[in-house]
Amino acid sequence: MRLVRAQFKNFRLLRDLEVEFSVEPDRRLTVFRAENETGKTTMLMALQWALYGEPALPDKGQGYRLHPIDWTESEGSRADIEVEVDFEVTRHNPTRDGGTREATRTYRIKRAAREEVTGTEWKRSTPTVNLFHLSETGAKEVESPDIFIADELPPELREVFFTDGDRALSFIESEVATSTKRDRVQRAIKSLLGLGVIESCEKRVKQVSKDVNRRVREEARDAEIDQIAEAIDEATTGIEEWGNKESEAKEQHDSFELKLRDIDKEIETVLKRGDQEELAAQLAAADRQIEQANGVIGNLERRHSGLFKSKNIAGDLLGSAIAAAEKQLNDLAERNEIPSGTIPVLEDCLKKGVCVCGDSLRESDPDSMRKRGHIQHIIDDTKQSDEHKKVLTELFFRSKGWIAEITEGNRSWVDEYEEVFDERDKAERQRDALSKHRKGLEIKLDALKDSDIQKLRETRRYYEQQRNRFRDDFIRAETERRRLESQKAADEARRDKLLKHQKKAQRIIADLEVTKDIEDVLRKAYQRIQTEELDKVSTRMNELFIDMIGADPEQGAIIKRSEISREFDILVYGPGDRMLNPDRDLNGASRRALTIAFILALTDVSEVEAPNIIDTPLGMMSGFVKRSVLRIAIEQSRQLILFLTRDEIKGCETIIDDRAGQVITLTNPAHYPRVLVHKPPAMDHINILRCACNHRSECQICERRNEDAQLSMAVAAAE
Amino acid sequence: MALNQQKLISIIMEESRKLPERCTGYREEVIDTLSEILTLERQHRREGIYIKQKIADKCNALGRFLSDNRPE
Repeated sequence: MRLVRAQFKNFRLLRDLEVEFSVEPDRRLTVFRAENETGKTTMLMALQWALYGEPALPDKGQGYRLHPIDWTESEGSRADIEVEVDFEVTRHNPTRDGGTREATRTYRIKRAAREEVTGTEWKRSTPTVNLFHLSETGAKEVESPDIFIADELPPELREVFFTDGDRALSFIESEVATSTKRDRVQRAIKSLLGLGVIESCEKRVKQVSKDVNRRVREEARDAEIDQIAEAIDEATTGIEEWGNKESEAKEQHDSFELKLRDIDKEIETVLKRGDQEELAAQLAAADRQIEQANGVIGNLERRHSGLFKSKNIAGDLLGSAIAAAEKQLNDLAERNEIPSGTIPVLEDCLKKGVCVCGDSLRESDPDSMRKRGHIQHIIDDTKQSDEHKKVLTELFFRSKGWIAEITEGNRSWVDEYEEVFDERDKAERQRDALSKHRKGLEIKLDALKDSDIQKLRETRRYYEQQRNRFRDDFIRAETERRRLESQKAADEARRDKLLKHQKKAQRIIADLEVTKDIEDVLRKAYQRIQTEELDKVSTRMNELFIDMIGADPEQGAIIKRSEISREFDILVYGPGDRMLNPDRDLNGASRRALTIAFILALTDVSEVEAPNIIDTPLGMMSGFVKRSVLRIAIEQSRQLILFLTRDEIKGCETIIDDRAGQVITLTNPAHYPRVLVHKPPAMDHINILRCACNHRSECQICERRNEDAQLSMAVAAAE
Repeated sequence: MALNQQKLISIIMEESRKLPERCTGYREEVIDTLSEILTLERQHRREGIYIKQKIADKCNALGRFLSDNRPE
């Protein structure tokens, strides 16, 4: 999907505005040059409202006014609000020769609502939405616009594609608990990769499986089977219940973790006020060091567990057996006993409808059908007698790559293990020493007579107790859920074994098998997408991020790499693989670059064809990083629409010259005379104006005073 | 379909092909059933249709297919 044009009527600051977006493939950037209070965020919201309706508004539109704030009675008691967006959709239709043909269609979505305004009160009617297919012959209405939009740009991805620079930071900001950030990252990845759909399907099939198990009890008429099926039923309910308890405990734990963080900040403030700056600084430093040490330990734990999944372990433990097996496979190949190639050739003949001798094997005439039957018979016979050869053939080919990989490793697994073990041991000892040091500081705090501090510390102790309590609850719930899961699996195996002895139970066995198979496929697909695609997003994010900040002399030397962990944490590493805290160790520009790299990587891996619309992405950036972020964002987006202030544009003019297909300047006339030089045309109301100026020019509408003049005006106004 | 569905379907197909061929054509039937379940789930998300019974019916049909075609 690419946006082509939009028109806004009475949508907050946008009383009457029409804008166009660039859809040129080589100049896919559209820039809105606009300062604060000039309708940037409003336009971002209006576009989302047009496409998604009320759910795109704050609080899903509840209590959120759409009509302009300066709406007066003279304009009437009814404000008609309307947003119209034209967009293109390109479909890749398959052609007869196996290729694809692109077909682009243009659509117009129009969402409208009426607000009855009485003084400061207002009430909005249910918005209406219409979608039209625009063609040379006219406009044809399309049914179910919301379904159409949901197909093109799923609502769960809305916040990834429509984002503002500040909100994007929520993936890494320190004001929220680690788990909250994790949830945000996880949610974005899940939405983009379609994992939510698989998860829901798995839940539904689990329910079907539960129902089939209940049928077992009704139909099997066997006391033992009945008892096992009942146990399975109870275990299924238990797994669900403990799973819920696990989530609740996690939520509570995270909430107290956040409270602890807040109260630590309060204690720090009170200490500073009471001339205890040094102690406050020591406490803050100790907390930071403990957090860093925990990060290092977490990283080492991951490396440690990763070693048990590495191919090196197979090389070390099974090296001689693998070499012997490889020799035997090679011997068989030399004797031409493998590979076994008859079956694929015959199957290919059936598929193509032509025999190796050239005879027809089409399904249309009886003679060919007879020959097909004969060939199928040969295939079946060969399959039976050659089953072991088939396995050996597969093993022969599949092992080619990984045997070399396993046996030619430079380092032994034991060496790697010892190295990680030592590092982990050292890091844990360091963390223990830091914890002791913090305890020492606590004793010093105890000695302080400041009642404010003691009260805060009392509250802190309570929060700590609660956090630990919920952490224990979480561990208990997790353990119990896992225990029930393994008990259920064992019971299911017993049930299935007993059922096999019952002649009448064949149908129900089939039902049990199919639900289990479907669940297995869904679970494995979920795990695969989660790991493989997450790795792709992580790698891509790192490439983009390093490219963005790489040559920045300040940050380039500190930041070595970034990744998204399996736990959905966005992590950044410095020299020596030391973990950095994105919120503390990265400057503002790098933090923004990291979040934009994350969003671009997500959209790239998902292959969703949609515009990236970003409000104030280059805030706090300058020089090389700013230009890199802009350049990379243009390259990575299918269509990029940016809302930029003049400060953000500064230094990026040449990139915009080269890559922007459309630059529009927006001006708020209410900024006259403090900011704007020229008096705007007489207007009864605030109405955002657009002019034809690009990022390099100014006119009677948009020309602004320089900062010194603005300051003088402000001082004069104050006097 | 905008969402990267092809990838999703191709992974599901690959995983389905790793299942035992419990009877002739079983894996293909599993793939069809899963595609239908995914479509139903998407429809449910968009249109809020009631799908619990529909999914049970799909699984049931696959169970019948296996039961009818499994070699003795």
